[in-house]
Amino acid sequence: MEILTPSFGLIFWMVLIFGTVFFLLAKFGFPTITKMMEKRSEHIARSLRDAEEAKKLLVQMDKKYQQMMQEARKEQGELLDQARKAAQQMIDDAKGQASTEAAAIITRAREEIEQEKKEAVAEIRNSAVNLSIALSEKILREKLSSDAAQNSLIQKMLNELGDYSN
Amino acid sequence: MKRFILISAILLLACTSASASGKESVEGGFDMQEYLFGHVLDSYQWHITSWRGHHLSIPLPVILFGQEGPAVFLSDKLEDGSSYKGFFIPEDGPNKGKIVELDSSGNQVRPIDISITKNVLSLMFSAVLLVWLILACSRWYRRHDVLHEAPTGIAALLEPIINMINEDVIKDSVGPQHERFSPYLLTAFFFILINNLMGIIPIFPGGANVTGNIAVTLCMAIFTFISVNLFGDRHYYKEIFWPDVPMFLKAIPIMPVIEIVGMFTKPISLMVRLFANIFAGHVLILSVVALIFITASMGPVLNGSMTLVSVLFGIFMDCLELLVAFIQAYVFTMLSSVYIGMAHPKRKLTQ
Repeated sequence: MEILTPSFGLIFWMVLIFGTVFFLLAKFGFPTITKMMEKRSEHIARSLRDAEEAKKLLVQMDKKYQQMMQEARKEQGELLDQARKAAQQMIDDAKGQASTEAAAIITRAREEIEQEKKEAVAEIRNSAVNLSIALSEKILREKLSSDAAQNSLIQKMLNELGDYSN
Repeated sequence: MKRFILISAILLLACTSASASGKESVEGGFDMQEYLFGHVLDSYQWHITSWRGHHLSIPLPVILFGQEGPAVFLSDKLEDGSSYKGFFIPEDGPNKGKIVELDSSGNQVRPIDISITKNVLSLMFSAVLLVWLILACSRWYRRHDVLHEAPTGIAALLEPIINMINEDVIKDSVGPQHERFSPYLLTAFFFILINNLMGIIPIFPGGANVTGNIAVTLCMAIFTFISVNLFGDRHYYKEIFWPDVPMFLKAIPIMPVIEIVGMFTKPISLMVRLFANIFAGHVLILSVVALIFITASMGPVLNGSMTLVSVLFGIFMDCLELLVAFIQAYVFTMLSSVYIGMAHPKRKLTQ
């Protein structure tokens, strides 16, 4: 029955050895390890949660982005349309203005031409008068080269003047 | 597979030569009882091998407190029945194999004996190994950032085991107060595991039948008993002395008696379970190996074939013992956790 009788010496040493091992491991060993593992498992759990949230946020952001893109595209289209219209408007306006201006220029030119023409006619008439005067002067000078002719003319004029004075 | 065959062949060769030598040294048959008890019981020296009748063993210090005060000497002084300072080891009688001295009337008396025996030395060796392993692991955690680094080395080896015991066994069984008890339970687990494993190794620092010794398992069971009953709360003690059962069961104190007996049967079951499993494992492996020596005198054919059977079966038994070493450590820890958890019935409310 030696197998079933615990010996005092072994119990003594067992208590001593296990006590020492327990003291050392409970003070410096296991709490550190379990705390760190706890910390890590918490960290992992938190990271997973964060990742899930980030994923949700990403989906949301993507939706927002798509929406924004759509809006921007729409706006771009509108802007382009507007710009095209404005350009068309401007071209039309410019065309209209150009045509009225051109018409004004033409009328003014026409007026000027008319004026010039009138002036030219007047000048021609003037020069014709002068020419005729000069000619008539020459003719008269030719006609009145004799004293008799001058006298008769003076006479004639005096007569005429007399007629007018009467 | 090739390596397996090679190792088996070498073992076979070694065993057959050993059996040949055994045949020479043991005349007139093989003493099975001597062989078995010599291996599974504690002893004052660490017997390594015998070669042609010479024992090769490591003498260990003997520490005694006898009638004439303390005595410390090496165990080889008492070899082969010789006497030293009045101490000797009787060959038979009630104190067979134990150091005794004679009192004034000539009776054998046992002195107070705290010798460093084979099991004590083995315990010390495993304790140092265990402390080194766990402290190396905790040093890794102190020196590294667990949030950004995966464990390496010893930490990588031990972390899965610690995590498994801590998360699956201790947390689930002990309940909300597990942090107070997890150092003890983890220490108990690793202490039992390392001693079980060391017991399987057949050569020097291993091979002692430590956890298959009733004194060791008795101590482990007492530690669990203390951690259950010392920290049990008043609900636990109310359950024992005044449980919620019909009055007549308490008037004739049937239930309290059962409960009080239960307080003690739990650690006793722990003690016996661990002891019996490891002891039986050692005996089984030793018996399988003993086949070689028993059949040594039955002719080479039978001996050779039995040697092959013995080696193959021994390998199988060793693998099984590896499993048992883990399972028994696990079971001890799990049951201790459950008992501690039962001593804190708040857990019942949270269930």
